[in-house]
Amino acid sequence: MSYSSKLIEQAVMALANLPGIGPKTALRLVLHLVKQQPEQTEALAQALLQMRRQIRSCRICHNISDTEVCSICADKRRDTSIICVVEGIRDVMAIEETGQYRGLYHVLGGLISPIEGIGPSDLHIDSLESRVAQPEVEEVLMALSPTIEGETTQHYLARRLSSFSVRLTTIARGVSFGGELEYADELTLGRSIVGRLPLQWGEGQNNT
Amino acid sequence: MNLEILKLTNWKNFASAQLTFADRLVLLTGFNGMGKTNVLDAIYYLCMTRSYFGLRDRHLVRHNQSFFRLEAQVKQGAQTRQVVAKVAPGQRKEFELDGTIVPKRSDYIGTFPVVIVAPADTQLAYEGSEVRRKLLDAALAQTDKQYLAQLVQFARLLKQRNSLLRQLANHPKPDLELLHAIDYQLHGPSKFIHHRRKQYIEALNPLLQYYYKQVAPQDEQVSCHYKSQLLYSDIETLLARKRSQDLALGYSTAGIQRDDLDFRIDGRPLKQFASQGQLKSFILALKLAQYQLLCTQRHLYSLLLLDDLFDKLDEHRVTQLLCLLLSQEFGQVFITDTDHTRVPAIIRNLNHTFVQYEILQGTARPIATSSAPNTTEDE
Ligand SMILES: [Zn+2]
Repeated sequence: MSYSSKLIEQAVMALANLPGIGPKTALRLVLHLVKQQPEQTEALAQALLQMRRQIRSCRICHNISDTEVCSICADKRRDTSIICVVEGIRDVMAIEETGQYRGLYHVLGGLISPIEGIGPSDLHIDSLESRVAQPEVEEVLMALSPTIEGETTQHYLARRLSSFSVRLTTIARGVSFGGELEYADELTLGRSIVGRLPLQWGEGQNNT
Repeated sequence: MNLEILKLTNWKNFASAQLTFADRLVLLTGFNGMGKTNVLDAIYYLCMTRSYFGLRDRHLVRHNQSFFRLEAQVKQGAQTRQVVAKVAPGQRKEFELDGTIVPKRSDYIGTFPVVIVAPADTQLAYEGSEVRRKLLDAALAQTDKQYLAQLVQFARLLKQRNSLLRQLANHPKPDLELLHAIDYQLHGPSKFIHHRRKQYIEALNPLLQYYYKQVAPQDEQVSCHYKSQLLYSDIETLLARKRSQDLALGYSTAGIQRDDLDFRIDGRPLKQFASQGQLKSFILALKLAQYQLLCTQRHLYSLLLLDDLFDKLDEHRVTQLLCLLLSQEFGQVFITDTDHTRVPAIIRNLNHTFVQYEILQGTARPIATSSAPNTTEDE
């Protein structure tokens, strides 16, 4: 497409780099901004810039956070005896959305997959271990996606955490739960968190 | 089950063709290289979502075209079903069943069960074990949805395990916890696949012997044995025992990925002791046994595709085989042959109707097959 303006072209290209935005949508957004007062674009740019510069991950659970410790970890009303282990921050959002869970989280930052070169040391597993070593932790709830890699990660964690005196549980599956956690609808996800099951693991047990 | 209409667009050397098969016996005649086998492969593709001859999709598209399309109308009991394959290499291939897009091809495979016999199948006796596992897997996938799912899961886990072993092989102090976790996941699929393969071969053997008697001129004892490390120890023990060896070598040395089939004639290895004729009879009997098992398990007549089966056989043998194929044991059969008149003459002698197409450089021309005395209409 020819834009007749280098400035417009630049802005369109930058926006079109975002996921889910093609050149047509990008152009529509840019032309919209041009029609608006300059202050509005400034406010938008400022918000994005500030977000990007100041956003960090929580020192404790690695969830996304404005502060060193995220609002969930800092919340005195949350149940500190249970930690829910998830793959990414979108899983935290999905589970929070259900309103069924009052414990804490631990964001691994991915799943173990040797094919993609992702091993245990690439994930936040050491910090999980130190958290689980705290006496107040009684239960670790694994809420990983029901994929091969999700299960590998779950079995691996179960082995790593087996020496601690905590209860290992997993969210109830087999409910209509199509693929990734973040796509599960609220009701289903809420139910599976309430109806969690003791984790089966280890050699010589049935793999169900 | 009857394949009634087949439409090919940009498929191999066919620009566009429509073939109608209003009979349970279909004869495709033409010289080599004209496209007879391509028609069979199109049918196979529609049933199994890939080419029998291991060709990639981009090699199946007609020269200088960007896509191919295959379409079939199949009568299954009282139901008439439509299947369309739209394939543009580089894009997602699409299968449409009765107007609805098939979300997972693994769920679709087996809808139209099929068995193919091709001249190169005699290589099954000579090549590496992979081709024989594929033979088993293709058969089991058509009867058991769970088998294919477990196989996919097993393959992914094995790939993960081998990647991990390669990474650990260069490690002075490898962390074995992850290996244990993956091994644990392998137990379920390994046991499932092993069990199904074992059952399958047990059911296949009597049929193999039965069909060998039907198709071979002489009477020999033939058998097919399932070879698997899992016959001698369970997968848990096996993986544990081989763990240090796997770590040293950087790949998985034990498991069902090593399974094989052992073909025997009069108790001796087929590939060393069979004549060319015996070998050909063995493979045909094996395929017919597979066909019969597939029909029994699915409770419907599968499609049988026979590529160049009558090549170099005398009239007596051809008649014998046709009698067998026209018996109640078989459903719709597709036969290719280079001779335009030989097989039609034999079928007429057997008082049977058939459909014939002459395949010539990517075109299919229906041949009027004069009616057998006791039939009503034929085109
Ligand atoms: Zn936190």
